Amino acid sequence: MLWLFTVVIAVLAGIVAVTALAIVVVRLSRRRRQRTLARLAAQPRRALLAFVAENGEEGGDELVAIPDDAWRAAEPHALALLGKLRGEAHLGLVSVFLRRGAARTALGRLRSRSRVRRARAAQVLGDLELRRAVPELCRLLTDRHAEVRVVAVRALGRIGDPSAAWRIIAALDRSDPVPSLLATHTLVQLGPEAEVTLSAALDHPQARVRAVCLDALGLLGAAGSVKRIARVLSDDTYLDVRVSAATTLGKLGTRSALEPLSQALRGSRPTPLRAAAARALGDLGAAAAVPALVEVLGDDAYQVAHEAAHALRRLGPAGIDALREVVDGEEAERSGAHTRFSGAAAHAREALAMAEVLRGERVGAAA
Amino acid sequence: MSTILLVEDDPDIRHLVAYKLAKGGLTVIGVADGVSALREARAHPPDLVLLDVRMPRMSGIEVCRELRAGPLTADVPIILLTARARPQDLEQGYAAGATDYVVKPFSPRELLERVEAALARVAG
Amino acid sequence: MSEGIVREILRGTDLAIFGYFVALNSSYLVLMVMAGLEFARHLRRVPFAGADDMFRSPLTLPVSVIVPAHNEGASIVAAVQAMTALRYPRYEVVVVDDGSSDDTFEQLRAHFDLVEVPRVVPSEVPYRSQVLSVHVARANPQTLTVVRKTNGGKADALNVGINLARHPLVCMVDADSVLDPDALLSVAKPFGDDPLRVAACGGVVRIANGCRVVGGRVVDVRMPRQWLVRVQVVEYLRAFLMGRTGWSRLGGLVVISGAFGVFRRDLVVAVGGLDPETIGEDAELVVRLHHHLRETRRHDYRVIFVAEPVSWSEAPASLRVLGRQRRRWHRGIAEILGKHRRMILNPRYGRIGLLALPYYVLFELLAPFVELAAVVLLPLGLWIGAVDVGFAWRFVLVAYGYGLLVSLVSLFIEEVSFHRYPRWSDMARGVAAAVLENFGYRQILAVWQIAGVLGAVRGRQAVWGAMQRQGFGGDVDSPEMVGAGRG
Repeated sequence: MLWLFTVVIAVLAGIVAVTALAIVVVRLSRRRRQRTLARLAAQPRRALLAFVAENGEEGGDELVAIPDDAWRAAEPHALALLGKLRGEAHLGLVSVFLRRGAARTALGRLRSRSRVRRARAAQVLGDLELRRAVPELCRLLTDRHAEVRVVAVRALGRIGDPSAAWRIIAALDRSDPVPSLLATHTLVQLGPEAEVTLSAALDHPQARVRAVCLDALGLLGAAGSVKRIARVLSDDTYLDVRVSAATTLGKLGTRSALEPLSQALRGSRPTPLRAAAARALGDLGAAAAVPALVEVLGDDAYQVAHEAAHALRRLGPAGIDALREVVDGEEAERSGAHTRFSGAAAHAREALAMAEVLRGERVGAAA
Repeated sequence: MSTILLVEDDPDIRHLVAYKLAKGGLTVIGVADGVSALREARAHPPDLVLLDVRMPRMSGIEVCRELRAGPLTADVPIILLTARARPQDLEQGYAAGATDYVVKPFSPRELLERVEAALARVAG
Repeated sequence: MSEGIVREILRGTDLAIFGYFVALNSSYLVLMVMAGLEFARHLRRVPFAGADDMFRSPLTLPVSVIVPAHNEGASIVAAVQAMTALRYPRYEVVVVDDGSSDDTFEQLRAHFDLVEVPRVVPSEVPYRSQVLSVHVARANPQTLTVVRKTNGGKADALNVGINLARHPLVCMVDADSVLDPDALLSVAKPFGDDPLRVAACGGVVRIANGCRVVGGRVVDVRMPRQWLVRVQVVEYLRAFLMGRTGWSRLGGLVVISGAFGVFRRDLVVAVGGLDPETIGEDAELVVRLHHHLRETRRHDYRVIFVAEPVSWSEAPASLRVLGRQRRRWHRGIAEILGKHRRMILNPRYGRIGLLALPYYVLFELLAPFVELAAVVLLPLGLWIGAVDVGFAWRFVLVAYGYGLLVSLVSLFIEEVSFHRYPRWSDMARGVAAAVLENFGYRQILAVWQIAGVLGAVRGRQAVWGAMQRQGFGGDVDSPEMVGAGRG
């Protein structure tokens, strides 16, 4: 028995020593690698800076001629710069990448067996905003791994080719969909040309697709779709979709949205929808919404009353006056100083105070 | 020769902008955060301040307000560099006393033009 | 004859204790291997993680950062300043002044030019104190809110903050936490990447002692000066960084530190917020979330730990304060396991019920008892001749040597993955601390932890005892359920 212990102790001591040594070795080798990289990258980084500062007019050949190992060392900086530039400087830097064969390599790697390599390649193609990579990136939207699909969606957004819209929508309609907010953002990046596709997808059987398309239409300012969206608001079977429709109508800001939104504010509707409708009426900016909002100020549901009060605040003078009226009416009624404000007046007071502060912020800062 | 105080925490952008402005014949003093920027601006009032909005220690908006409040720097043109250009962001910046805006990602040429235009307005 | 039996029993017990040590350290080693794999996975993905895209996207989920504060007058302004300057597209900071008797609120009012706003405070999660007033910063009314309320303890303060939070994600932060600029971005990112499943996400807490902090930011990472804190640095690496990452990978994370964690607000509301009756309210919330989600969604949800350095806290530098902290922590473990004992070994709760919670009972709750038993029984066995000297010293060497190995492996993984301690001398101090930990630190820790468990047993009988003023500031009482015990 004891000999076993002795052996174990010896083995343990050995492993402890090896681990301690490994810490030292890892640190030494990392430092050496970093020094080498820094040395290699120094010259290319200077050249890069000069190149983009001159809007990519001079020094391109010099960058293309940089040996591969030195370029690899400087590549993270170059990619980082890419995201911070636009105009000729950006185009110039992209052309350097293309002339160095970065696009070809990345396109090839999109079919790599390693998911990390596929994702990295998609990221690079997005950074380069390479239009001809769109079909290949769309193919990646059905990749087996969620993380690859996510990078592909982001890359497609950077590139901004509206023809990708329906493929992105399709990527939402699966059991493990791409994240909704990411898809929305990407669809918005595709620009107004994607509107037709988005509007058509409002009849999609998958609720998630409808919600995303609504959000994207709102951010794109697709005023032409108001009628269709109003129909979704009143008829859709999914609450989340109807909430999205209300929010979108608020963003689009046309008068024809007033009626359907006021309908959605009615007491029989679910609370989240009513809150969204109240908020949207505030976004809409139509003074005609004031009576409907005042009516729900005293609502039992906190969210509804809260949103209504702040919507009134955002409606400007007409809304503010209505809020003040509610507070004044209450104050006149109160007999003692200690009675609490009712729900409606409390929410109105809060909104008025916020309006005061926000006004002060503008005036004070401008002075 | 005009002196520009450049306040930007991202070293890539700081180097790039400094390089570009120096090429354009301007003297550039680069700092990485708002506190150092205020110290520098009070010690040596620059001819123009290029200010990143989101920085550690103090936001660009706060620095902007402080500069406007200081007697030596109250009239210095201030150009904000920002990644966010929603109307309310711009409004906040102008309210704090900014002269102009450059949105990131930016074009170095455009940046130099804006800087030169702002300097010319003061001189003229 | 009877002496023979006693000797046999003692010998058997000593062997059992030995077996326990081996099993305990082996479990740590398994967790560490898991953590190592997770770090490798994470680091390979940094180039395409899309942090910049997340920062630029107008749709990134906004966060409400809730900062409970009790008598933090000396440091609150710097802390809030740092928290309002994080790199994140849209977020608000809600400071909850939990009945401070010092100038916490005055400091905030003077510096941020607060104006009172008669806000209607909903009670989506119950709270038992009284909200006195709500204020916003005149210059940034949408980004900084300060609430004054009567004293009710940290959990109650957080509950009030959750009620006032306007955004879909809530981030709970200690007022004395020093956050990295990208802290919110790192910890909120999983919610954007996997919005249908991620329910909560915790960030790692590291020790700020000795580090250079400028303007609310850690700018230079160094080892602390005292050995007592250095030992804790190694302990934190092993238990927080590696242990929790390992559990996160196994799908059994039951602890998210109150010093930095992000939760989906709707889920926190659904489970009724934090429990003011529990000492480790942060961990208790996570266990309750598991309970709720396992019952409503079976297993299709995730509770994640992010190892990217995000938050730095001051660790106790004196034995007295450390003792109080560890008694609290272990009392927290005992209370939570007691409260949720029905989940333990219940197949209905999947990995949480069958793996994570039983592990906590076996290797966290019981560990200090075994540790202390070893300290007492081994010399006793020697004395009455149940074991001989040759066995005894080998026993000690193997048990403690294995623990040392585990600590070294965690230092090794830290060196490979994050390497936040750039100086050679600091690395050497870390290794030395891993050795020193075995002499005295482990043993005294066991005593405190046992005291904590006994406190929980006694406390259960008098839950409704006198309500004392509750503070939670600084390094003193920051309740945190942790298995930072033995290595």
